Amino acid sequence: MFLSDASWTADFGSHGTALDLTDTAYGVAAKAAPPASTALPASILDTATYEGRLIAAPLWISYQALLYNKDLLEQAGIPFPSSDPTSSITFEELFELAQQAQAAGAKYGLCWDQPDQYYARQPMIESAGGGSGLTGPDYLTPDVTNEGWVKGLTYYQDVFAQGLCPQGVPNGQMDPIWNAGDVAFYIAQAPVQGTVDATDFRYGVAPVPGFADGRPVSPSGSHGIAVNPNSPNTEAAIDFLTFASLTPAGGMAATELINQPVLPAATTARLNANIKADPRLQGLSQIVKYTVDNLSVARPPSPKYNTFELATTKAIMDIRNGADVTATLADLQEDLQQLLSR
Amino acid sequence: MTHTTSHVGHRRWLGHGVRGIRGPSRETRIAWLFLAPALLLLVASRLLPMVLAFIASFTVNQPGGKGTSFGLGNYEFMASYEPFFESLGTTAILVAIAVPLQLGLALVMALVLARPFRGAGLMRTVVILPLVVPAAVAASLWGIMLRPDGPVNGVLSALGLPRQPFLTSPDQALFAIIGIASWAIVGYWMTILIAGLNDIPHEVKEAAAIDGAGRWVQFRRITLPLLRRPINFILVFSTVAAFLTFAPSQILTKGGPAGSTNVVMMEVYSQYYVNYDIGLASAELTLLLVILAGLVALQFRLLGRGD
Repeated sequence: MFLSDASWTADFGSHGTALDLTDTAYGVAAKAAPPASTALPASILDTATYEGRLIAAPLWISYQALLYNKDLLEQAGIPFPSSDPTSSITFEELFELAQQAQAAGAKYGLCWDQPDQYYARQPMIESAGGGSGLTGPDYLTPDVTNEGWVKGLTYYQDVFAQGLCPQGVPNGQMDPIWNAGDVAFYIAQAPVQGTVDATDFRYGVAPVPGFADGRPVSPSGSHGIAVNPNSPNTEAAIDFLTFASLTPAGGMAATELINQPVLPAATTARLNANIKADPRLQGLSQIVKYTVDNLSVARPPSPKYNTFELATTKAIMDIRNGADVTATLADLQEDLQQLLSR
Repeated sequence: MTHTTSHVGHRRWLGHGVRGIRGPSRETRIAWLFLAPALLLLVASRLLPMVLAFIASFTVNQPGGKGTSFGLGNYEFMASYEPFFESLGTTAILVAIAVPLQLGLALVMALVLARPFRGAGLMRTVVILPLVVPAAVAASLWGIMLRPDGPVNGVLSALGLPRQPFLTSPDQALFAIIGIASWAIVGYWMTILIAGLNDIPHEVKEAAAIDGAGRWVQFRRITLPLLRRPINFILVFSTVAAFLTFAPSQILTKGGPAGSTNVVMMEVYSQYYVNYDIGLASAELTLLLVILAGLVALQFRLLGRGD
């Protein structure tokens, strides 16, 4: 068995690297109709499926939520955003509120915990109508210069250009800035992994934002377990997958490592335990459920996803640090055309 | 020298005499035995990967994962793939700046710190200290130091100087990478030069001083020529090290901003380990090896003159 991130689904699926789990005991249980205690949401199974074949047992989920620092918002006279999962704030409103919070003394108005990663920016671009950036039957045709891409990433660049978030801070170094109480609004990936536990200020949770003329969108897909098709012990492997991915006990055990369990029942139990430990996360349970069921988009299921992601992540990094949006995306389009033709 | 005499000479060197048809002498066998572990390691860790990469560079993947074929496809693609040649250009700039910079700094520090004075030992230790910091740790530390909101900019602000974008600017990032790479290695070059300086016999300098040679003349006519060997060593090795710069780019900039730090090793790494395009990565690596071998041979030729 081996861990298979959602970014590898199409690569492993197209190369036969992983056993097809569709018709195994695991696949049947995972795809059972919703009242069944083992049923996984379709949006989660999609992230591990390539051309109709289930190639990994999802273990964890990914999603985004908006955190806000209550002290900084109060200081600026900004009402707290609603925690109703169906009423997301818009990016346009968020920009103005972030400026307002900064004017009232917050060091930074609006930041993201994974500032460069493509898959963490994909939701914003999708919300702007840009699509995933890959089209065509095998998702090997780049489409990163359309209006939605320009709109989404221009907004992103403006946030940094206006000083609402510091430029040049890499992945993994944003959390300490939020934890220090310096950020008014913070869009975070699965924000209950201990990263925010270190804070001692008051904060709240709201659903992920979207553009005014689009819909709010969240990323999805995390690591799962795949099985080596040449393994002599596939039956034992499938028993293990069923335990780890489809039982509350397996789900809870998985969360001792990272993130949120994939099984809704285990997710709810874990979230409730978190919320009990930290009442600031009130409302997160409903937000996660609604986000996973209704707002999540999968990464484009391209066998060349990782090539696409690296090139795109670099372009996002450049744009965040001030490179011209249209020119950078045009270069990216050209590079991708060449790389994906291989 | 004919082939035959060279062969005999070789035998004589290894075995102290030609034993004719009775096979290699005991000494020869012992010599090979002692050499074997090093030779095996050299073959397994250096030559074999090179040969494998060379073979892989002719292996072309067929569309849709339908097996592979043998041919020049990877080289043809490489010839039209601009980012690769841009990465070679970036690397050339890095080498052209880093090598003289590191040698110059190491020489100045060696000349200062080779003299006995109070605290010289401590100073040398401080200069050599970066050597024991792993490249990845050093890169991460400098990444935080040079952040737009980091300590270096804090100091600049406090001094009333403008804040600098460093790693986030396409105009500054490569220089920052050169600085970080040089910070790590310059102490090592300095140590080698100090050893070289200590090897220069005192009598030579004394004789020159008696003959009326000033400090500058002594440096030009005695110190520099007698440091020729360690300087040659540093030139060759710093060129290779600069050519193969990887960790700071990979950890700090991923080759950006705007490809400004996409050195050739970053490019090869991305093709191999991210895109899994082993054929293209191997073709790039083969060309890189040819360039490096040519460059080192040229350096040896130029520097070997008059030795």
